[in-house]
Amino acid sequence: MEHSSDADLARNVQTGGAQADFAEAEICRRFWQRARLYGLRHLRGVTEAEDLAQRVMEVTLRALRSGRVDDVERLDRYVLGVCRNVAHELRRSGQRTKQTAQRLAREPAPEMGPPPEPPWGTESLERLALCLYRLSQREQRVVQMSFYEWETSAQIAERLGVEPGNVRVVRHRALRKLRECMDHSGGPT
Amino acid sequence: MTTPCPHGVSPESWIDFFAGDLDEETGQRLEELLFECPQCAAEAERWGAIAGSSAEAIPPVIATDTLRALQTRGETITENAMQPGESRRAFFPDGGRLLIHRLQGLDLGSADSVNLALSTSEGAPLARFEDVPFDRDAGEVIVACQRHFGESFPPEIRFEVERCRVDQREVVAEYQVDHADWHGS
Repeated sequence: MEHSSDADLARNVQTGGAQADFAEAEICRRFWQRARLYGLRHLRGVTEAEDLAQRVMEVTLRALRSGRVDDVERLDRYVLGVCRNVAHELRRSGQRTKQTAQRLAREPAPEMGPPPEPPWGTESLERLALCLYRLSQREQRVVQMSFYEWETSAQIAERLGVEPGNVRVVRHRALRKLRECMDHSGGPT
Repeated sequence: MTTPCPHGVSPESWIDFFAGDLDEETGQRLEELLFECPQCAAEAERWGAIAGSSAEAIPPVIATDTLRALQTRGETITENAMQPGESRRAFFPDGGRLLIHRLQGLDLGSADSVNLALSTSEGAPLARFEDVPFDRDAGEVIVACQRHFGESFPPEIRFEVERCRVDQREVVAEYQVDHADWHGS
């Protein structure tokens, strides 16, 4: 199943039967994380991104089950479109709208497995904490302002009294260091 | 390691993608690659995991400013202030993940840098953190002890603070903590 094309998986879901559950699980495995990343970029919050990913997968699986996806050869495009719609809805409402919740409640929620494991396994957070300490104070601060406070380079630059280009350089360097640390040991020296 | 993105997207572009620093057109192109190209998605996933987890991950030794930021963002924290030579049992807050050891009473006025060594109560080395943040004026090093560290460390830990001046290193204080509620004890 894991070597099947997206289109084959989609067709398995559409036709139902014994393979449908596996196909749905594999579709979630392939697209949940991408939808989450889309959400991270647009909604700028981890919880919000996971909420979006969950809803995108629910909408996609419902659409497949009920034969509402016309071009299964482009399932990737379809999921991206769902991401855009759900993100738009979430941004517009600022939260889950009552109407959306009601509309989703009218249909049974698809059974979904647990979200896929993070790329460096279940101990990612612990390893990242140890890697973060290796950054300079300025790098740590820029990472925190970028991805916890979700401030733009211009906002960070103003707070730190530097040029926005400089903030980007510090952020690039910091994340490259974190990536290298995560890819190798991640442990303390 | 992942297979490099065949569309030539640089690491910097993915970082900018998550930091919201890309123009609309480039951002949309990367979004399409995220969904259409499995190698690009795998690469983006790694940068996204770092960006997304950085908010939650807290370094083991932190500066006073970072502690203030954690308090401001509503983290549930128990603080354990200690003087040199002290040995103490300490507990995590109910429902919270952070136990802050404030290693105080340090003469760091002339320090160029500070190291922190962790060992078992019998002296077996566990970890060593070099050039850690410290508060020179307050004479303090702040350890952000996190529940999940309990998976890697024993409950009883000895902290040694090392002061570095030019070419001189000297252990200036020791503290011992028994993390009573690690491992559900």
